[in-house]
Amino acid sequence: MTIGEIIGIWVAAGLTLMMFSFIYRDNAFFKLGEHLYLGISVGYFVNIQYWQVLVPDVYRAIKVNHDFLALIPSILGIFILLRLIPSLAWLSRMSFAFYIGGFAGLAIPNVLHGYFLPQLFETLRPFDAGWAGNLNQLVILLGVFTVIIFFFFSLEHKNVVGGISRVGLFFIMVSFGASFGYTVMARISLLVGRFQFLIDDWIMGVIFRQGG
Amino acid sequence: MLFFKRQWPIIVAFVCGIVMWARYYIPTEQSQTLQDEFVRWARILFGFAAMLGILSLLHHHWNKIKFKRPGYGFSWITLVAFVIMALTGLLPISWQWIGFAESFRDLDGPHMYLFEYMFVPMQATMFSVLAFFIASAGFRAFRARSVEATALLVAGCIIMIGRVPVGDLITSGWTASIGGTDYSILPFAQVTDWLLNIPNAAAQRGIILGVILSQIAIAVRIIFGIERTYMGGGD
Amino acid sequence: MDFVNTILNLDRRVIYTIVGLLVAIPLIWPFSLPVIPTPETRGIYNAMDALPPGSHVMIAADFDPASKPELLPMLEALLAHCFIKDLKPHLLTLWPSGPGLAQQAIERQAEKYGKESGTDWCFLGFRYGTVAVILGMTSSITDTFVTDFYGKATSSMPIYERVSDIADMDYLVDIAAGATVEYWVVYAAEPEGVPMGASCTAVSATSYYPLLQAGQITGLSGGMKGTAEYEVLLREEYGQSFNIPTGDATKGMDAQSAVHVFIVLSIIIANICYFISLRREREERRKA
Repeated sequence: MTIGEIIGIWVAAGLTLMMFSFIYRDNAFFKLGEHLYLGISVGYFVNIQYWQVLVPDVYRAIKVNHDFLALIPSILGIFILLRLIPSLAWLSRMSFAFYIGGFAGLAIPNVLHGYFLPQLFETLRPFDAGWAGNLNQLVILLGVFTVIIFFFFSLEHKNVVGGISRVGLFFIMVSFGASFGYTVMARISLLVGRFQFLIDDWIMGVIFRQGG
Repeated sequence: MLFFKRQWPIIVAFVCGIVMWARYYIPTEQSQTLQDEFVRWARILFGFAAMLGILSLLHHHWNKIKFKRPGYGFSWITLVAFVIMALTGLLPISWQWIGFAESFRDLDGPHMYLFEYMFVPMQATMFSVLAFFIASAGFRAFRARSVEATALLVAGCIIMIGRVPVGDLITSGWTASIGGTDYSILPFAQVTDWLLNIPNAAAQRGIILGVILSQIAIAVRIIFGIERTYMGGGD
Repeated sequence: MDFVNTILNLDRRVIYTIVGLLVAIPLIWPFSLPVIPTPETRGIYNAMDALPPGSHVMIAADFDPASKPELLPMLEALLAHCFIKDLKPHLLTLWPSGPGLAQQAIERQAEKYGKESGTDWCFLGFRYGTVAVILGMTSSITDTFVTDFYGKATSSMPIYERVSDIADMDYLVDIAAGATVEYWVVYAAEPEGVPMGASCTAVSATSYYPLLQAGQITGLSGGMKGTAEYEVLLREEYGQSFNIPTGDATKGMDAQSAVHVFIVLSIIIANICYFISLRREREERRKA
């Protein structure tokens, strides 16, 4: 392990423990780490902007490939930045209108053909898959139908509609329970990852010099 | 002037929206070129839009320092960290005498060094703190007060046990023999799989279908100028 | 104060301490619980394993350091699988903070398996726009990414001699911390007819089951468990021949299991105590 790596691991471990200090209560160390993270992430994003957007798509397009059409979106992009100047902020509306309007138009047929219709066709599939498959298909059909009724608020949820929406609510609760279980799993995984760093890289790797 | 501030953006949104919508149903080379050019312009625009967020943040912290608002000392830390991180990637620094190489993309360079040992641990730790809070919240607040809450709780517990190796281990030896064939009494893994692939998929699909329809409705409203929140406030 | 009240009024710092210990102890003294791959993860693995040598695989590393423990090992395992099978991965990311991790992963794996950038693999880098980038690649990858992450022109690379757009890909995998799986399905996999798999954080896994159930994705690997399953499948098949060590996700499963059992037991015990306290309150009200 080089000196640079050892120093880096000590710094990383220190910053990790500073962020963990929030568990006890909000404190100056956490605030320090928070603001440091903010500054470093913004500095990183500026580099991404420059090397991955401005250089290949603007500078290279105009200077190297002489594609002067790239000037138009660049000017529209500068209009977006003018949002910071109140008297010129109205210019940004053109840029937003261009890409929000365009993507709204793009989304409609793509989402319909690529997402909505395949999901609908799968729900309304014929029952031709054996008794277990057919039972599952029936549960899916029941679930999708009742959940849609649950979210349909133009009809009052009482009597038959109320009964159907209650079944839908049951399906939603099962799904949210599954989401909760998975969310717990996700958060614990992140904690496991940090502890793996602290134990394997910092304590064992640097302090006790194992596997270095 | 008022026309350019109010009506012109709506006309632009309408024209772009209708053209990109209709383009899908006209599969010619020219319409493909039109889409290619549109998405190329959009990529450059998104880059500048991201820049807006960065400038806004720096402006906020600079004002905090200028007017010495509470906590402005921390804002100095933000700005200094930003300058150092930005310069390590933007400037062709040759730090070979220290052992660093130049260039933003070099894994041995100062920029990636700061990324690896400062950016990554801080961002990872910020989100991992939530693990403690979710464990505490589950213990202190998750109560089976109704049938629906019980369903949520039971489904959550099944997933939490079934989706880790301990779920298979707990019930792998519990079998009953029926007609000479061994069946698992509590096939946790299969129950978890069924729960996720059937009732969960059904509920999520019902929600997704509704969300897609509302997305389409909002897109139509944007194209026809009914939805104008993207223009922001002002005259 | 009796047991029921103690449990219901337990200081949250006791819970934090128990969680911390249950994560740390299995990492120091692992008990190596077996990880059994599920059909969902096998869907991705089998699709990748069935590809003939020379096939092109697009891998979108759409995650950031916040999801590193769940998804970075999956990226490493996928890249290792590609290089073992002589597949050609085209790596890109649609998240701004993704390039750093993606670069580390591909350079590490490429060095281990002796693969050359531009010929055996390509790291395209990052571009803003998500949907705009995907749509651009359905027309031309080299026009969307004129240069790769290292600044080299993509049009002159040998890897792009017979590949021009997404439809030429043999498989597509999105490793997603957000909602990008939907965009890849809607704008790339479905219209271009490219088979696709998804690996996502556990938080978003439940919302992608409709896609799996409808066959729009061949497999779904959710969270650290899904990643561990892929690592296990890879080690079972190629571990000995290619000296693949136990993956980080697999090592984390013991700690994950311990904490999950604690949380489930604590929720059950807390609920039992809650109902006991409710009954006591009702009895006291009746006596009063």
